[in-house]
Amino acid sequence: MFYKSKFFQSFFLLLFLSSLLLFACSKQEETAVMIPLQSHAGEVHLSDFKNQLILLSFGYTHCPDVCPATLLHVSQALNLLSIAERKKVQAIFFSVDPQRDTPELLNKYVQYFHNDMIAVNAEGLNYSRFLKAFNIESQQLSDDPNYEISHTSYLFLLGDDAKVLDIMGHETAAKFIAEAIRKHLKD
Amino acid sequence: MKKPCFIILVLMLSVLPSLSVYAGDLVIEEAWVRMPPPVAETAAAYMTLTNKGDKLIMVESIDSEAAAKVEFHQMSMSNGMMHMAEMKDVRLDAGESLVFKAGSNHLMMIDLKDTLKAGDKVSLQLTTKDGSKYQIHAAVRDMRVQKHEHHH
Ligand SMILES: [Cu+2]
Repeated sequence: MFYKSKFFQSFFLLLFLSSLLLFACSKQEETAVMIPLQSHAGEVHLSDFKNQLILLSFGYTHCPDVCPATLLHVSQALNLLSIAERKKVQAIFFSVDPQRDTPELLNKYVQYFHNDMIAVNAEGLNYSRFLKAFNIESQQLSDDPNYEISHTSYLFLLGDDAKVLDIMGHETAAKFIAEAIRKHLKD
Repeated sequence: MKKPCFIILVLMLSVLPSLSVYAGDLVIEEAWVRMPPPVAETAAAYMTLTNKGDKLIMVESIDSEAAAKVEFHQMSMSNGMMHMAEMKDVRLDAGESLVFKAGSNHLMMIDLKDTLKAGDKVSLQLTTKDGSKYQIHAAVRDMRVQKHEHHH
């Protein structure tokens, strides 16, 4: 009898732990859309953009070549869309450099490329959780005040609940970005 | 010297550097600067360096009055991750060209002194190990304005 109850104890413990694990894992996936991000207009979450696709890019304002080129392609892609199509897409630039890129600065930065773009940052745990959610790596290269950051430079097209619909390289031309958006707008 | 002669001489001297950046065996062409967004403190510059001589050329330094520092940067991608690193040795064998272009290796102008606007001319000075100096004039280009991709 003793043996049996011990068995059941372990069995229920295991059941409890595995359900906890399941819960924790599914929770972690949900958090990408719930992570508080800072924009110049206040806190935003990916979940705020209901019924819109999100075109998410990563970079920082001290990046002189790849980041402006990517945002240029994104802005050209938005311009290739009709006004009605454009309303169904939100382009978001996430800064991998919250230390230097304040929300105000970021806003001015993206406005240079397109009026419909927004830029966000996040700090501490929210920062690392957000990067982890999209498997983005970022690495500050020195302690020099003019430090650079190596970072994953993919463009993500996200659907409901930040579901990844498409991943594009940073060099993707505007018309292919626009095509990818159109394809998913139809679905 | 008579005044008109002096003016003509000054004009000639001011035109001279933009006509040619040739001062030795190193030829520098297609130099331009990507217009940075207003808040950016860095800008990328691009150019092609060609060694037209028959001896190795080593670049000692490059600087500009427009920025606190100018560096040659190597850009590389691995697993979707973009790395930039300063090129410690910029060297060209006889006949060799080094291309610094958008989305690739570039020059990084760090800590810009003023806002750079489209059409501005940025001067850079490149010095080689043998002491030759090259004056480079790079026009600032607004990449949002593209000739071949019109849409309204
Ligand atoms: Cu660089």
